[in-house]
Amino acid sequence: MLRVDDLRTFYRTRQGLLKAVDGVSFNLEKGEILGLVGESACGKTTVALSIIRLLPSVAEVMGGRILFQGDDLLGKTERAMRDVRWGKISIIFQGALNSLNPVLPVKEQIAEAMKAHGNVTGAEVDATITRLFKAVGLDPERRSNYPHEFSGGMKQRIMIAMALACNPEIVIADEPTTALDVIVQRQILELIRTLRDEFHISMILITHDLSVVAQLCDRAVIMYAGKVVEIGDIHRIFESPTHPYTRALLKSIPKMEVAKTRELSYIPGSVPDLAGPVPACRFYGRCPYGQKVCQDVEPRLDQTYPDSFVACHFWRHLSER
Amino acid sequence: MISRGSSEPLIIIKDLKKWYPIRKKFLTKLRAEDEYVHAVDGVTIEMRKGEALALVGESGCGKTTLARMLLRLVDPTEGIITFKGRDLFALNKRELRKIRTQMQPVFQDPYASLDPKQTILQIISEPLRVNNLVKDRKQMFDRVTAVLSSVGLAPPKSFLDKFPYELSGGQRQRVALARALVIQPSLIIFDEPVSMLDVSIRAEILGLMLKLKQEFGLTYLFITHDLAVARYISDRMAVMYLGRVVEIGPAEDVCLTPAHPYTKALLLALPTTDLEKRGTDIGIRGEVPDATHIPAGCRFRPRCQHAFEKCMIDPELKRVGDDHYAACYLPDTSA
Repeated sequence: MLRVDDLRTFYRTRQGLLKAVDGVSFNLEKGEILGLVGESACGKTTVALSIIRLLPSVAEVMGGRILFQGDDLLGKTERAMRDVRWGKISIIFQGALNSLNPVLPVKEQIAEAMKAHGNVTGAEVDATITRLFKAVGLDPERRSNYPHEFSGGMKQRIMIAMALACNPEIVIADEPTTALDVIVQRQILELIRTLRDEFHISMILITHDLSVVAQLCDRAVIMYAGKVVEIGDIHRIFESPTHPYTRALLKSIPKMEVAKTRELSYIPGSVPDLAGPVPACRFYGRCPYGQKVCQDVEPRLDQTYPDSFVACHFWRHLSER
Repeated sequence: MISRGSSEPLIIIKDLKKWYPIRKKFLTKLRAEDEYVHAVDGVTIEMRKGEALALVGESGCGKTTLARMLLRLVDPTEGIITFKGRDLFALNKRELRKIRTQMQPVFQDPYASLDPKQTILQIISEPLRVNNLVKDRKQMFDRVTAVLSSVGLAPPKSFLDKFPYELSGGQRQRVALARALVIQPSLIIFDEPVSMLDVSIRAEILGLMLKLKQEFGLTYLFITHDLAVARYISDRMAVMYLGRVVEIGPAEDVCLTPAHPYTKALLLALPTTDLEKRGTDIGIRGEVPDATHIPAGCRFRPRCQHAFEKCMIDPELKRVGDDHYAACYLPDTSA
């Protein structure tokens, strides 16, 4: 469906080039929900913005390809890109709750997106909005309301309806539930799951929250400091994670099931500054298994099982444990 | 684990209410009755010295408003709060100032709560200077370096001249903790102190908070929406819904044998990495109603599967176990 191949996106900063995304590759299969996971500053949002070519001006794609329907999106003109954006690939932004225009009724905002992407009549727009509102669980009667008349969860439903308005093939959702309360979050995740089947979309879900991935995704790409460290089916990732970072991250999530007596573990240290010199394996320094080779030789993303890839020199040794 | 605190209450909150009036146009005001947002709507809690009490609930449940009243940042519409036996709202300015040094807040966003133009030394020494708690520069310097090592920023001297932007999120939250601790308060009020931090460092900060509590004999009021975090840090837990406490009890009991259907739903909706729990039904529908139109009777009634006629009468907190109370006519701790 979509192939990201050796993508490098750097930011120009006063401290020098910041290698936010440095050689990232993964596939999005048709019909799947792929989780792109990592902590702050791992480059996950930069990957998304590179795909739809909406990077801020200080950022630049320095290399790689993004293949979609046989074309490299990075080689397209801005004009051609406009047809792809929203029409073929749409995005639900982080902080979506604040990205609706407060002075326009919501139906106008959805109509705007549709009209920009093809000749549609008013009646068609109306019919689509009714269908979309029903699909996301909103009362179509409320289409003329303004954003402030909706709750946070409902606004997120509107954003999802908007992302589906032009029948995209791929939807990228950047932290779609982060600002929502747990119960509403659960409702939105269920909604996304049913819409995927109903609208036959493929989806990239960007999140820092592994539990969101566990609840919704089919596969996950784990990123750390601008690199992919592990890719796998979610059963592989959650039941037998291989990369030391994935393992440590899973262990540090406070779990309800774990008795209070058991110590919570955490990852000592912090993410390296990507504008400065970094060790060859970027997790070196925080990794309990780190050795000299990790400092000098960058680990390749090796295929470990038919459905998984890991970038660690010691994956064989680790997966035996 | 039952509360480690002694029985002497440090804080008594009684029938506390905070209603915010909704501003209306003049004409509508003449025609209709005044409307209010019932942010906190009758809360009674006692806090024991040395305990960590978690206040959990979704946004808009009133947990932050409650904390703001405790800090006397807002005045209540009704009700009282006593701190060490003294009525907080009967104090004059001088007395208030003095009592405030005994309670310190730590906020959610360590990026916004530290002045970007001040050095770490200036930030942490400010409460000392404002309250005239140090005689000279040397004493101030000593207090600041001591508290920096308590919060694990070592060596302390290397941090004094740094600015917040030079620190990571976890380090900033340690500075915020140090600023709260430096004047030796007896109570710290945390408002979502770890929710902005990356998962991999969250546990480290939570562990530090527990350590400091023991070391300095502190009492914690811990506001969070995350039940897993609440269970980790607290001795007792109070669950709030639409301005009321619907369940309160020892943290372990509330989490393992919840009695109120809302607490149960919150626990079921808790994000989990357990793949087997994918798509489980959480048993409630809809969203929290807005706090201007509180449902009659039990506030949770419109969303509750078990509601029956009696629920039209507002339920009070009733004992369901040891030190464990729930506001429900059909409490069920069998879960």
